[in-house]
Parts: sequence; C-alpha cells; structure tokens
Amino acid sequence: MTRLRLLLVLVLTGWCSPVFSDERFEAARLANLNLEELMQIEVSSVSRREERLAGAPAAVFVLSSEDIRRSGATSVPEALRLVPGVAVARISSNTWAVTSRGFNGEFSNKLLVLIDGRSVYTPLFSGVFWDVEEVPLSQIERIEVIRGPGATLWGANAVNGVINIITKPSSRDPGFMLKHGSGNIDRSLTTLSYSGAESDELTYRVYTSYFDRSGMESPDGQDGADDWSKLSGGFRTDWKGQGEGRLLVKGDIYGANINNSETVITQAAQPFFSRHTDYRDLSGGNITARWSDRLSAESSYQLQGSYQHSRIDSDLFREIRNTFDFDSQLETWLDDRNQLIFGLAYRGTVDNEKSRGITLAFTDDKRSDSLFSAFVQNDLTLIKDRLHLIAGSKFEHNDYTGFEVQPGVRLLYTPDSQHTFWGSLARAVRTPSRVEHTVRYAISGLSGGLPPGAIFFAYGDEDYDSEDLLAYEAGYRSQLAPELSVDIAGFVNSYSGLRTAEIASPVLDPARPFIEIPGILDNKSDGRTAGIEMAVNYQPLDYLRWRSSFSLLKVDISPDADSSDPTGSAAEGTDPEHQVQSWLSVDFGHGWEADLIMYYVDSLPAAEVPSYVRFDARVGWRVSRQLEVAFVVQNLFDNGHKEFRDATSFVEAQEIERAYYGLFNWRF
Amino acid sequence: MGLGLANPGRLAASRWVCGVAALALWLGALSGLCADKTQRSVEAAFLYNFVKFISWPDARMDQPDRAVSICIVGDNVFGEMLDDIVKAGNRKGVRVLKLGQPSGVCHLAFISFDSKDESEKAIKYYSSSPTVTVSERDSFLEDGGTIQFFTESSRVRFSVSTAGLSARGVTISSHMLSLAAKVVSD
Repeated sequence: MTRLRLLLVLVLTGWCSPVFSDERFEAARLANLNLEELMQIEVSSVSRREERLAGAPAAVFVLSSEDIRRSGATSVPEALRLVPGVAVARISSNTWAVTSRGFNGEFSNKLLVLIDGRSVYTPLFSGVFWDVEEVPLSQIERIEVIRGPGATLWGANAVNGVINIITKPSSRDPGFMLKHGSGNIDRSLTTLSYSGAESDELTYRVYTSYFDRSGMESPDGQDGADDWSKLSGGFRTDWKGQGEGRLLVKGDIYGANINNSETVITQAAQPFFSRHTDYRDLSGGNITARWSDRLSAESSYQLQGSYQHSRIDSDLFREIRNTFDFDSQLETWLDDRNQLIFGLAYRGTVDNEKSRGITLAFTDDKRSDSLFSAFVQNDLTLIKDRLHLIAGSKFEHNDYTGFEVQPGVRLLYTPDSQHTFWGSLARAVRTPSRVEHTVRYAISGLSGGLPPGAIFFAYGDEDYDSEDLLAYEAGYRSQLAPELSVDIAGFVNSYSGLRTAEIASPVLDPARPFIEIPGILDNKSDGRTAGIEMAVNYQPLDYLRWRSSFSLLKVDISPDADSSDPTGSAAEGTDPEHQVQSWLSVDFGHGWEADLIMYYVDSLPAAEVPSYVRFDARVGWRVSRQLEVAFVVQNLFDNGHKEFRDATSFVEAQEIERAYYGLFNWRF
Repeated sequence: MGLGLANPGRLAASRWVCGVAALALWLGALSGLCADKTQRSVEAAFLYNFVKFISWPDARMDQPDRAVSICIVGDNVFGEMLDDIVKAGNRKGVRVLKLGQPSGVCHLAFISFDSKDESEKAIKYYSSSPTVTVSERDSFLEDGGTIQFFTESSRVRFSVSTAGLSARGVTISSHMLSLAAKVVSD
C-alpha cells in the first residue's frame, strides 16, 4: 500500500501558495463533500507516504468502505465490479474470472493482489484463488486498484494491474460489531468483531466470520453443486511508538469447504470425461508484521514480513504451500527536487503437490522457489508544482527465468489546481508459474475436435519463458466543477511471448485407455491491446450522487506462423469490448438510503457469453447509531445469466442467478 | 467515485506541497502553518455538514430570517474559509458569525481560545441555550462541550457528548453519531 503512495506525485493545488491557490474553488468542493468523505481527507503535511491517489500519474481508482457498503456486494470480487476498466465475471458461486485490461480467465495471471501489503497471488498459477482470499467486507477500509503495469514498484506479475486490499485500523469503530445477512444465494453471512484499546498507543481488533453460500443453477437446469462455506477468524493490532514509529501485526486463519461441478477424466472409455462434483477442503493462515518510522525530516523507512500457509485438498490434487515474504523500503529526499525510493525484498515459497487422479499431475511433487528483488525510483520535480518526472526500475531474480529488469518512466503535469495530465511508459514481465513448468492436465474443452480416443493435455515446460509487456499509457483527471469530476485513461499494451500450447507427437501410455495429445506450453504468440477507460462522478445535490464509467478494450492476439496452438487467438474473445456502469445513490433523510447500479457487459465470443445487463439495488436504513438494516437484490431483472466459461478450466460455468438478501449491522 | 476521491487528493496534495516547500526552505514552522490551514478547512467543512444532521428546537432558535448561525467564538482560526464554504454550498439559510467573546444566538459554536478558562467560560455561556459547542480542545467533552475534533491517522475525526442535549431540545442524527469516533452520553 505504501508503494502505491510512493508511486504518486500529487496534484499540486498549493493551499499555502497564494500564486496557485484557488481557495474559493476548494471551498466549493469541500462544501459538497459529505461527512464520510470529509473523514477520508488526509491532513498531514509531513508524511509523504500518506498521499492520496487522485494526483497519481497512473490509472488509479479507490473503492472506499462506504462504496462497498452501499454497493451491496458480499465479496471482494463482486465489489471489484464497481471499478472502471476491471472485468469481473462470476463462473460459479465460488469462482470468478477477474482481470484488468484483458486476458480474463479463471486462471487470469496478469493481476497482482495484495492484502495489507501481503501478496496473495498463488505461485501455482500466478493468479488468485478468490475463494481462499475472501476478506470479510466489513473489515476493509478501502480497495485501491491500479490499472496498467505496476512492475517497476511491485515486480513481476503486476502486469495489467495491482489490487490493494487495505483493512481498517483497529482504532476504527471501537466496541462490538455484529453483522448478519441472509438470502437465497448468500444463505448466511455473519461477522462478529470487537475493537478495543489497551491504551492510546495500542489498539486491537479480533473478528470471526462465517458464511454459507448456495450454489447456482447449471445452464441445463440442474443443481450446479457449487455451494461453499468458510469459517475464518483473525486479529489486528496497531501500536503507535515514539514519534512516527508504527507497528502493525495481523493474522488470519480459515477453513473452507468449496464444491464445484468439474469436467474431469472419470472413465476408461469414450468420452473419458464426465461431470463430477469436487469437494475441496481449504485451510490456512497468515501473519503479517510491519514496522515503519521516520529517520529524519527527509527520510522514512518500512519493514514488513509475512508468512502464509495454505492447504488445498481436492479430488484433483492436494497442495500444501508455505510462503515467506520480507520487504523493506527507504524513501528519502536527496535535495529539494529529488525524492528517491529504494527497496529490497525476498520471497520464498515451498510447496508439496500431490496428484489425485489422471486429470492433473505434476512432474515434480516438491518445489521451493526464491525471489530476490530490488527497486529504485526517483521522483524529480522539473517545474515546481507543475511537472514531475518519475523514473525507476525493478530488478529481480527468480528460479524460473533468472534475472528480470522492469523499468518505467512517468510524467505528471498539473497546469493548475483542477487538471492533471499524466503519461507513462513501462516494461513488465509475467514470470512463469508452477503449473506452466511442471503440470500436465487434461482439458476436455480442447479435446472436442480430436480423433476418437485422444485427449488434449497441457504440458508444462521447463523452457517456458516470461511474457513481456511494453505499455504506453496516458490519462487526464479533472475536477471540472465542485460537483463534477472526470477521469480518463487510455493505453496501448504490446505483449510478446504470450503463452501458447504447441501440439507435439501423441503420447501412448499402454497403461492408459487414451492417447495423449500434448500441448507443450511455449511463448509463441504476440498481442496488442488498446483501450480507453472513462469515469464520471456527479453530485448535484447533497443527497444525490451519480457515478458512471465506460471502458473500451480491443484485443488483438497474433500467434506466430509456426504455432500449432489449437486455441489460436482465443484470448481475443474472453474480454468485453465495451463495459458500462452507472450508479445512482440517493439519501432520503432519516437514515434511509438507496442505490441502483447498472452494469452492461459486452459479449465474450470465446466464452460463448452474450452481452448482458445486470442491475443491483440496495435499500438501507440506519435505524439508530447502533443499528443499520438493508435489503439487497442483485441481478434484479434477470432470473440468471452466464457470465463466463473458461475452456481451459475444469470448473463448470453456472447460471449466475438473481440473488437477494437482507442484513443487519449492529454495534454495541 | 475515484473522482470523489479526487477531492481528498487535492487536499492531501496541498499538504504535500506545504511539506515540500517547508522542507526546501528548512522552515519547519511553515509546514505547521500549512498543515494547520488545511486541517482548518476540513474542520470548517465538517461544521457546515453538521448543520444537516442536527435539529434545534424551533421556539428558542428561530431567527427573523430562519437562518442557522455558525459562530466562531474566540480566535477566528478559519479566516474566510467557513464563509466561502457556506457561500458555495447549495443550502440556504446558514450564516457565519465571528465573535470575539461568547455572545449572541448560535446554533453551532466553534470555540477557540488559548486559555482553558476562557474556553470553559464559553461552554458555560452556551450551556443554557440549545447551542451545540465544538472545539479542538482535548478535555472539551469533559468540560461540558458537545463535539470535539481531533486527528487520527492524519484524518480529522470527531467525538460527541450527548450529555444534556435532549434537555435543551437538540437532537443529533443517528447517522452523524454513527460516524463519531466516540459518543459519550450522560
């Protein structure tokens, strides 16, 4: 999270500088903020790290806890639907495809996700198990989303975006909180937390959360068998030391049962594959400690360590993984024009994989990988209050591809207090994941056109290399009037070495009743994506707010001439070309509030999903200071629709049904 | 939405500029001054917002023009900022009065004295009327005040004491109370 801030240089309005200040304008803007928004404004003049995102030279978007509450979303991926330019498609009750700027899939691998600075993408496939990383929404302070490459600061895999989930400080909302919701899909959502203070310096929070969610209906009208439940608990302590020293220690443990209808090899005769309900057990825990302090007026530093353990036990495979992260950074003003940020990090992960059948197998069961990295970035003030040049690079060494360099340069121009222009040129790589080097798995979705008796198997390969991105971005952000602001970003991304599966000679194993057609993973494809993302925020009256966004995305994948990948340029059809979102929020007074959100998502040809419109509605009432009640309907005008289908996945895509639930939030 | 945050961003930016300027000039004092100013602006916006969430008894507080008066009692720490915010807001009938000493009819009184004695005197002065007193002073709620501003994690927050409010016919909405960091009742 801090690094996100580090990325930023601010819109330089200059309250203190009479030359640039426009106090009347600022007053007008302040007059239009509500209490929640006022509470978000940071007023520290010393801390450079606690800068807000609005003046960032990047496509940054923040979902506040208030936005999440009023959206009616019940999970992190559902809340991410609100972010312009991010594509969220629910595959089944517990499985999502989430990406930014293209290449969506159940195993989408170009997005980095952090919870309080702890990276939660799995080295298994470089993606996120959204079902594992479910954080109770009431614990979240905000979700910061950067679209576009963040590799210069965050390193490999921050290719198309970074999602930062930040939990509330334990000093927030002292006392007990009990939140319970119940509906047709979200059968039970319960979180109980207690925040207390040992002293002014030491505060803590403990929570426990349980949910039980129903499955969806499969497209052929059967039960999707994708219900799931999870029990989790955790704590967070915040300690303020002398001066600006701050210590954060937090941890969580969880256990979950996750079911999915999957297409796997179950029989010795044609068609070999059939639908099978996989009962997956998940358990794990994590602990994070972070210390930050100021060394002098010009310098501050931060140290963070985290450990996470996870166990996945499914009918396909079992994985036990232990990951340790250490991260340090120092920022310092070299002179009055140059601010330097420097960091060193280490990440070690040890896994133990076990195949549970012939659908999926690993070439080696145990593996440990180390990642060493360093980054340096300088923020140079070219013209005071007007023009900044930010340049830096990440240098890292990983066990799959060795040394990787990911440089980036950004320019920020703020002609006056109301307008921000930025541009960026950056390189990012996606390093291979565990499966891409060591897995063999049968894909029913790609076995259709093969001769009888043959099954398509994806073969991981030791020579599989990093995917490369060169990204060009530009953006404009403006507070056009106190009640109206706009944010526009455009980008062209040029990828090389994208993943392909190259058909090799059939493999005949006498012990198996089928012929394996191997698709050996290789980097024989290039691609280009381009797009525009626009967001508008209009609040004409205290009690009325309208937010809308539009995004356009063009994807052009061109496999090399000698590529024999049967999926060809299938990735072209997995992302909506157009997405539109419109959100109306009304406060009726006496604690009554209502929200209506419309999403339009364009068709996904490769996933066989037609375009759809989805409406979510929420009506809430703050009965008293202690009690809030709400009723939410998702998919208001639709019995159900399919949002995705991943041809390379086992998980059956289900109809995403209309969901409704009621909830109360009681503080005592 | 992200654009909603553009607003805090600008403010944070201002503070940042202040910080840079101060560091560059090695003038720590300037930094403090700047920080103070932006914090004040946010507090002024809070005061303006509070009016929406507080209801006063009609009888005692009715002014000839039915306006709500926000008084700055003691040092005028807001300069023209509160006036500008009130002017810019869409709501009619909010008036800013700058009073050197406790006096007049105030719906909301921001009390800013260096001396604790004077502050307590002001609280006492307004305690017999349905005036909601606000201050930054640490012991303000214990001294009988109603709303106290403070900063936490670099953000302005407030605590509320509802002691004696209902007796004076003042109601603070549950929404506002739910956002308070702490609510002290009798």
